[in-house]
This record gives sequence, C-alpha cells and structure tokens, in this order.
Amino acid sequence: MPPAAATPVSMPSAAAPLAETVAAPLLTVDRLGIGFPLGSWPRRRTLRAAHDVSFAVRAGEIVALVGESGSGKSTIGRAIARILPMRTGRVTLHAQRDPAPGSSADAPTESDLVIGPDAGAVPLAWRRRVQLIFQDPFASLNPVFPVGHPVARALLLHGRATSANVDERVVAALAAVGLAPAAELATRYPHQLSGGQRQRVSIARALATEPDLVIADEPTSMLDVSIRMDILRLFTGLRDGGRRSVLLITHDLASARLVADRVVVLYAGQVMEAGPSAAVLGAPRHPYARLLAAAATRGGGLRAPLPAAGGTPPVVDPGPGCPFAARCPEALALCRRDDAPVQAVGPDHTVRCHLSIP
Amino acid sequence: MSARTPTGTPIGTPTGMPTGTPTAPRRRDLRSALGVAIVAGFALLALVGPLLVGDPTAYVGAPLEPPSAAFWFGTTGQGQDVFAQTVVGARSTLLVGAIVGFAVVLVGAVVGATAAFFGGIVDSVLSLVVNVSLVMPGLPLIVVIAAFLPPGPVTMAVVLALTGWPWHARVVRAQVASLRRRDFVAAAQISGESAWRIVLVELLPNLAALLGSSFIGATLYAVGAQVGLEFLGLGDLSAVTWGTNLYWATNDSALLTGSWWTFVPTGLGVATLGFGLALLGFALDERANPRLAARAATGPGPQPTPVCRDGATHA
Repeated sequence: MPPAAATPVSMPSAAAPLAETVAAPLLTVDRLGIGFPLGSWPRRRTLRAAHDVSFAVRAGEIVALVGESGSGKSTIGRAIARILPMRTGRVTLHAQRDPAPGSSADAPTESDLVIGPDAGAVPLAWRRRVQLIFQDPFASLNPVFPVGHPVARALLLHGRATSANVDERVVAALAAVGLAPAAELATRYPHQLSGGQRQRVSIARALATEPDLVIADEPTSMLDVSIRMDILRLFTGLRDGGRRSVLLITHDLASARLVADRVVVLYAGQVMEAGPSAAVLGAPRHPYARLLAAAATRGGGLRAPLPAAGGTPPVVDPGPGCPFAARCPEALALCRRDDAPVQAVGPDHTVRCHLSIP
Repeated sequence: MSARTPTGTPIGTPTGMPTGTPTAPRRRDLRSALGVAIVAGFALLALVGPLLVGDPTAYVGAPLEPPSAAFWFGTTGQGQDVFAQTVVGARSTLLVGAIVGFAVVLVGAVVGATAAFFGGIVDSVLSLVVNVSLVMPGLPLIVVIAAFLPPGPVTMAVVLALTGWPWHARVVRAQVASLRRRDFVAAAQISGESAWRIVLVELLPNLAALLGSSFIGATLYAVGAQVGLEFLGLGDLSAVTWGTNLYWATNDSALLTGSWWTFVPTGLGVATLGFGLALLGFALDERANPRLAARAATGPGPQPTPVCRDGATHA
C-alpha cells in the first residue's frame, strides 16, 4: 500500500535549481515526425505537424515547448501522451534509476518503454507514467459525471485505490491540488465549478496515477489572469522534489521563463532552438526565437515593429529548406534550398540555423 | 444505469439557471406532461384493456350496427364489437411499435457509435452500409419483404427494424463523432480506460436524451408503418390489430355504406398515440439539443480568456 493517496503539492520556490550533476533523462524524443493526411485521392496531401523533433526531458525538470499557434507543440505533446499516432521516430521513457521511496509497491523492475510509429496497444505502464493536462478545462471533464469520477477512475485503473477507499482517496487527491471543500466539490458536476476549479480537477486526475511526466498543454491560457499565477505555481510544485518532470506546452513566453528550466522553440513542427531558458529567452540565437522574444518583450509592448513578414508556416507538403526562410529577415538563398543543420552554440544549447554556423 | 447518470442530469436539472423567458419552460413541461399522459394511457389500455372486453373476433350482433349502449363503437361488417377490436388491437400495435423502436435505436446506436469512435476503415465500411440502406426506397422495400415473409407480428417487427435503423445510425454517428473529439474522451484514454468502456460509460450517458427521443421517434415510425402495412393486407389478417381493423373496415366497404364507426375509433387511436409520442419526442428533443442544454446549464456560457502576453495588455 502506498502511504499517502495523493502527491502533496508544496508551494514551491519557482524554478528551483537542478541537482548539481545533470539528472538522467526521463524522456527522450528522437527524430519524431507526425503527419496527417489531408483531402482524398487523387489530391491527397500531407500536413506535416512535426518533423525531425528531438529533445530530452530530464528527471525533475520543467521543459517548456514554445511556439506560435500551429507550430505543432500540442500535437507533439499528444503524440508523447499516445493519443495521436506518430509517423517516424522514437520516444523513449527511461526507467527511473532509483524508484521513489513511497512507490515501492509497484513496478519492482521498471524498464525503458519505447514507442515508435508501429506501436500497438498502449501499455498501461505508459498511461501511468505519462499524463496530460488539457488546455480547455471546460471540455476535458465529462459533463454527465461528478468531477470526482475521472479522479476515481484514474485511481482505480492504476491500483492507487480500491473500491473500498476510493472515495477518501479522491477527496485527498482533490484537496492536494488546492480544492476546498474537496469532499463537497467531488460530488459536483463540471458545470457547477469555475474554470480554475475545473483545471485543478484535471490536474488532480493527471496526478492520480502518480506519473513521472506530466504534459501540460497550455494549462493556463483559458483561465482568468487572476488565477493563472496560482495554477502556474501548482505546476512548479508538480515536480515534487525532483521526482517528476513537466513538459509545459505554451505560447506564453513569460510563463515559460517563470517556471521552465529549459525551453524548446518550435516553428512549423521543427525545433528551432533548444536550451536553458535563461539562454534561449534571454539571448536567443535563432532569428525566429529572437522575434518571438522581441514580440513578448517585458513591459511596454513592442519596441519596434517586427522586421518579419507575415504568413503561415509551411506545413502542408513543405519543400526543402528552413521552414522559417520565407519570413526570416536574415534568410540567405541557402536557407530556402537546404535544411539547416543543428548546431551546438553553448552548453546544452542548440540552434537549427544556417546563420549560426561559425 | 446508476442513479448518477439519469437522462441528461446536468442538462435537465439546472441549478440557478437564469430564466430567460418565464413561459417557455412551463409550456414545455405542459407539453411533455400531456405527451406522457397520452402515451401512458395507451400503454395501460394495451396492458389491461384486453382483459376487460370480450372476444373481439366473436360475432356478437348484426353487421354494421351504429354505436349504441350495447356496442359503444357499433359493430363491424361481420357483426363484431368495434370497441373490443379497438382495445385489443392496441396491444399488438403498441407492443410491436415499442419493440421495433427499441431494436431500431439499439442497432442504430451500436453501428453509429462504433463507426464514429473507431473511425478509419471501420467507419468507411459501416457508413457505406448505412448510406446504401438509406438510399434504398423504404416503403417499397418494406412491402416486398413483408409480402415475401410469412405474415405475423415477428415478421412485422423484423421488417420494420431492418429498414428503420440506418437513419438512427447516422444521427448517432454524427453525435459520437463530435463527442469523440472532446477532450474528456482523450482524458479517459490517458487514464487508461478501454475503448469499449469509453464508448459505453463515458459517451453513452451523453447520448441518453438523444437516444430517448430517437426511441420515441422510432416507435412512432413503427406504429405508423405497421398500421400502414396491415391496412394494405400485408400483415396477419387473422390477428386483431389497429392495422387489420382498418383493413377489414375498407374490405367491408365502410366508406361506401357510411359506417364511419368501423374506422374512426382506430384511426383516432393511431392519431392520438402519434400526437402523444410526438409531444414526448419534442420535449426530449429540446433536452437533447446541445445549444439549449448549454444555455440552461451554464448561463451565457464560458468565454475563453484572451491570452495575455507579457506586457501586451497592461501596457
């Protein structure tokens, strides 16, 4: 029997420093590609939602996946959560070297879990270890059930509760994410709760399986500004003393800067720049990352009009070359012709750009 | 179904909903109450009525006697009691109607939900079958099949169920396809729920109001089609049903002889039952309508908060 039903969420110190030694990777995404067919034969085309995406999430780390709408960040999150199929590549969920002290009852010999394009049924272990929190707190709860129901199902499915004690476990799980009075709220229907309360229920549902990785898909974008901060604080608390990692999907660079240890910048489904958040957001190297940072600059809005041309990212049957070339103020002829190579530009900091080649 | 998943609970029991037009909910309640009363009355009649009247096939009086104290609805061309025939006829007609209504909705819901939930090739194949069934002309097909099979209530139920389900499959498929994309389905998947449990436990309760009104509509269709087929002589003519009552009335030249009492009671029965079912169906339909439901449940509806980039809005 695991002791506490729900993970205690302590109000954290934002972006606590990682352990001195670099932690072992929990999740490795290797050349992930995701595509969707558009139209039907003979005018069949492919929407390339993600292409050659590689990054890693270390144990206890918060990684932010940032990019504009349509950059593929939600799709990548959903593919890792195994509710969308991937076309190419490989996603590995590494075994935790030292199982957390409280959770010794389960998974005595945990092994690496690997998914690829041809993966069949999703193993329950993947479901337990990877959870997703949805953007829309109004759509992610079934309207015909009280909000305790999804939490109870998650607890029961993964052996975190028995039918005898599920009710008290649900109340404990809801209380752990700051819902009060939890016992009363558990019997309410979603439409009787506020947006912030619903999002807390979604977080409680995701945490019920005691996952190693929580993917949070724009968890605050549909909430009032006044409660956004509370929910973000909840997320930095999710890492639970370094045992849990968070993949935060957001287009809000301010929240990424606030909570994330590392940032991955996406454009048209490709990683443009990745590295420590201070480096990527403070001194971005890729032209797109620079524009993104300039557009979200602190206090007082834009200092100058952005030098980039408008336009939508080329994701339907894209040709060769850098996907940002059409909008890039510094594009060379080379950029439109050849895919850009990935360059290391600093410790743990990579850029995919022809211009950054020394 | 457990007590916490009654038909559209959050929809039907709005707490503190703003009452936009005060008369509308009351009129709706009145309509559904009338519908319930009519349908329940006919169900009761079909259930206990045949025990209270005599043998409807017995020759009890002179042919074509007008209504009198002895024979409230008069007698048929063969001298049978029209009142007894009307009451007894309700039983078979309602029973077949309800069974067909249930079967049609069940088959339609299973096919439609399976197609929408699994998508891909499953959806393509099932949708093809549904669409082909839909474009086949219904009535001629019913007539042909009914004429081909041995007559009787079972044949009637099979024929009507075979031809009635595709439309419901389409309606359910559309509804499930829209629910399927809602995040709560993905959330259940991520929690590790099996596909079948998602369909049966997470999705079906959301369809309860739709299935209820579909059942009412299908029953209405079955009663009408069944009476029509039997009127054409395609049913079991030795049985006493509303359809055969009308068949024999025509056969006995009721219109030529002006003996209106042989067909008006049954005709009024069909019409009144149809009216009651329609009222019930409308009342359920309004609950099934997601737009009305959303307005009743949450007031004007939640508006997504505009995204605030750092400094962009409070500049």
